[in-house]
Formats: sequence, structure tokens, C-alpha cells
Amino acid sequence: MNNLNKDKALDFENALLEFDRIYAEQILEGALSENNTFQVIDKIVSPALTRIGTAWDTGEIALSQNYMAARIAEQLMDEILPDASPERIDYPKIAITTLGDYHMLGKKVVTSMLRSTGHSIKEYDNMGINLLVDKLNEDDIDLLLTSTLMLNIALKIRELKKRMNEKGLKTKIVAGGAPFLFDNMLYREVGADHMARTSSDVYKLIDQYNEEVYQ
Amino acid sequence: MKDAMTPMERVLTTLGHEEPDRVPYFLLLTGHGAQLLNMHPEEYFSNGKNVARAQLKMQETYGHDCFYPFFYASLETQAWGGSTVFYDDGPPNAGKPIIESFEQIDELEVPDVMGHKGFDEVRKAINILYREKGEDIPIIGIVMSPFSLPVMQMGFDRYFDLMYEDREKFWKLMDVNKQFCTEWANSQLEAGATAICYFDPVSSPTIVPRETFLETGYKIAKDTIGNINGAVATHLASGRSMPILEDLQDTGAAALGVSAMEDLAELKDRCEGKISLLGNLNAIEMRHWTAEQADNKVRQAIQKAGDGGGYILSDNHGEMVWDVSHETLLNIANAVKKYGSYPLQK
Repeated sequence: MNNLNKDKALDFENALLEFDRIYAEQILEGALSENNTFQVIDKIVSPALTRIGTAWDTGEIALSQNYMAARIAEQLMDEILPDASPERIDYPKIAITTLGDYHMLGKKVVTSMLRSTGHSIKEYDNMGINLLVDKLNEDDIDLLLTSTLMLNIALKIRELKKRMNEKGLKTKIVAGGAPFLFDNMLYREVGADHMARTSSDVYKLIDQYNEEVYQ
Repeated sequence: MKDAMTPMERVLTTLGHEEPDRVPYFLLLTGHGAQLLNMHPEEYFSNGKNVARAQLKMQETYGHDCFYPFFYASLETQAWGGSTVFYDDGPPNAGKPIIESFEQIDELEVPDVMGHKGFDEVRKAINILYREKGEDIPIIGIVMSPFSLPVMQMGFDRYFDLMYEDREKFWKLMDVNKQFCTEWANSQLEAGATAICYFDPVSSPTIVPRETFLETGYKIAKDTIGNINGAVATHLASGRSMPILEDLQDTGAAALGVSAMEDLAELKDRCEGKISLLGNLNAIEMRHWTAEQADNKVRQAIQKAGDGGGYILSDNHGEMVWDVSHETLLNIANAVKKYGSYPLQK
């Protein structure tokens, strides 16, 4: 691997946080001239986006920067690795839903972060719990990411989990969104398997899932 | 005697950065009113009489120091032609955004705040409360800030795109929103509201960095608050405020709603004598508090922020989570009375 040192990941992170799409693109192009796509993702894109997600949680950056950074990264990576590319990582099988919450920002940020690092992700539109369970079964989803702002909608995970258990689904539920930031135990209360405090926590949970299931 | 203060005297004294008889507390109850009257939220909020009746009853039960005739945030986007989605068990949500492309901003006209049925009901509630107890108990009117309203008008992601990629259209939207916000706030004051709570979560450093805030939300708040004909409290709805505390003090707000994510003692230290604080009980955790936990949380908050006045105890979000129990609300009220009498126990 060449041209893939820590400085490049930091440069890429700074370019994203300054919304400098052109410089971010130049960094990726330079790295791709000597490395393959997934080496660039592993050494540049993923570390940069992970730090950006953590920086939001600690208050170092704002949500608008997290959103814009993820959006720019997604646009750049979509050119390198189109959405329909067979090279995209499709394990574990991931889907995302807002469970009917009309606040879509969290879903968009997480989707962008995952697409930026080469993952495939299914986006489920607003649908009832029964239909959602059918979709999870049909698509054989391993990880369901839920993104909710409203507490009453976050609490719907409880009913979702119950229906999933009735159907015998083994899909793991990852709960994310504002209510979970104010109560660390809320994800357990609603029956989710994990909680994501930040958009980039999902990377860790994917690694964890892969370790548990594939190794 | 200090203990003979009315809620109005108590709140005005603390806002003047002096110690009243005890720490005032605001239980910012909205949906609890629908539960009290055993109504679906949609029915409850359709008539200002319901809201006034429940506010009077809840204040009598819990003894808190304000009326909070807030209906729901998307009432404002309804005035712009938007819709609201009601739930059985939580606050209503804004429906489909009314602005789907930046070009539509050029065509926007400021709605007449006096010609909107939903707003009439809010003014009706305020007016009833004013006639009943308006001299003695502060009535808080509520507006979404011009800078935060677009989250409902166009969706968060599209709004960020506008903020960063088309400042000309952004300022056009702010111009109409400023006029709307000012007129809506002033019409609530004319109906009898004592003060206005200016909800501005997008200005929080949790949402935009300070540099962006100074170019946008700060200037907008300064302009808008300057045109509101009464006292204003800014609320960041659980968002952090520490990096912009001095900037917020400069906008003309008399009080600031602060987050459970920040230390109340540090906030008080930086705000003492400059801007009063409102908060910062954790509105989500509160659902499971035992009597002992409620007692401890209230005691700690008062110890951190109560000295010298300039403090109103409240939740951190600006709206009590709908499934906080009656018992917990009573426990909070009792704990304020236990620990909040001035001079505070050391």
C-alpha cells in the first residue's frame, strides 16, 4: 500500500469538514492511483468518517458538519463504487428505517456513512410494523438500524421486537437517535440489541457482528 | 415576607438576578393536558378552551410557576400550508415539507397570523389564562425561531443544503420567517402572554458550528428578539450552549433553556448576573425516576444553579415528555419546595 498514511486520512477528514469537495476528491484520486478501492476505504475514508462521528458525540463538531461531510464522502465514493456495483459489501445485510418518524436526517447521515465505506444498505420507507417484519424476513436482513427523534416512535421498537420474535427472526436491532443519547439504558428498555450513539458507531457494530457470525 | 410571593413575583425576581422566596419551577406540560381531560391529542388541541382548562388544573395540582399553553410545533407550518400528523401517545409531528425546491422560496408569502384558526385557538387559551390568573402566574407564549422553523418547512437535510449552498435564498427565507415569527410572538403577547419562549435548536453548537451561528442564527435572533414586544427566553431544546453562551447573552434574551448534557454549575458560573438559566433535568431519564432520584436530581440542580437567583428549575427539552408520571411531577414539585427555599441550605 502506498500513499495511505495517517496524514492522508486526516487531510481527507479536514477537507470533508471544510466542505472542500475538490480537495477531498484529489486525495481519493491520488490514493486510488496506487491502491485499490477497499484499501483506500480502510485507510482513508473509514478512519476519517469514524473520527467525524465521534467528534459530533463529544461536541467538537456540529451535526451540520457531520451531515455535509457524510454527503460529500458518499457523492465521491458513488463515483468510484456505484450503488449497484457488485463489489459493494453486502454482509452483513443491513437495512435502515425511521419507524415512521418524519425526521429523516439521522437516516440520511448513517446511510451516507455506510455507502461511503462501500456497504450496501436497504432503505425502508414508512411502513407498518407487520409489513416491516415481512420485509426483514424477505430481505434476510442481519442488522436493522432504527433512527428516531421522537420518543414515542423510538418506543415502537418494543412492538417490533415482539413481532420479530413471534416470526422467529434473528435480525439484530440497532437503536439510534436523540432519545437514546439522553438515556443509555433506553435501548435495552425497548428491546434493541445495540445502541449507536453516533453515525460511525455502526462501523463498530458491523465489525462486531462479523466477528460473532463469520469468524 | 418572601414566602408570600406569587409565581409572577417569584419569576420576575429571579429574572432580575435576585433571590425570591424560593427557586421557581416550570413544569412545561403539554400532552399531559390531553391525558387529564381524557381526550385524543388532536381533539384536545383543536380548542383553546381545553388547553386553558387543563393548564389551570395542572398548575393547581403541581403548583409550578407558569402556564405553558404550547400546542405543538407544527402548528406554525400549518399556517404556511403544511400538515400535522397526530399520534395517540406523543407530540404531533410536521407532515410533508412545504418547500421542496429552493426556487419555491421566492414565491413564499408571510401568512397572516391573525387569520389562522390554529393560532386563534392558542390566543384563546392564552386569553382565558390571562383573565383567570394572568396577573399572578406568568403565561409563556411560544414561537419557533425563524432560523429553526425551516427544519419543518423543508426538512433538515434540505435546510442544511440551503444554509451552506445558497445563502441568497437562505436570507430570503429568513426575511419572511422573521416577519412571521415577530408577528406571531407579538399577537400572543397582545392576547395576554407574559413572555415568549423562542425555540431555536438549530442555533445550538450541537447542530451548527459557532462560526455558522454567528453568520446566521445569531444575527437572526438579535433582529427578531429586538422586535418582540416583551421578554424572551431562548430555548435550544436539549442542544448544547456552552460555546455560544456569551453570544446568546448578546441577543437580548432574558433567559436560556439549557441541556442536560452540560454542567449546570459551569453554565451558572458563566451566566451569573447576565442571563437567567432554565433547566436542566433530563426529560428522558425522568420517566423512570423514583421518588428518591427525583429528590436528588432537584437538590443537585438547585445546589448548582440556585444561588443568587437567575435560575428556574425545569426539564432540559422545553416540553415535558408525555409519559412522565403524575407521581414524578409531584415528586419534583415537592423536592423544589424542600430544597429551594432561599436562603438555600449549604
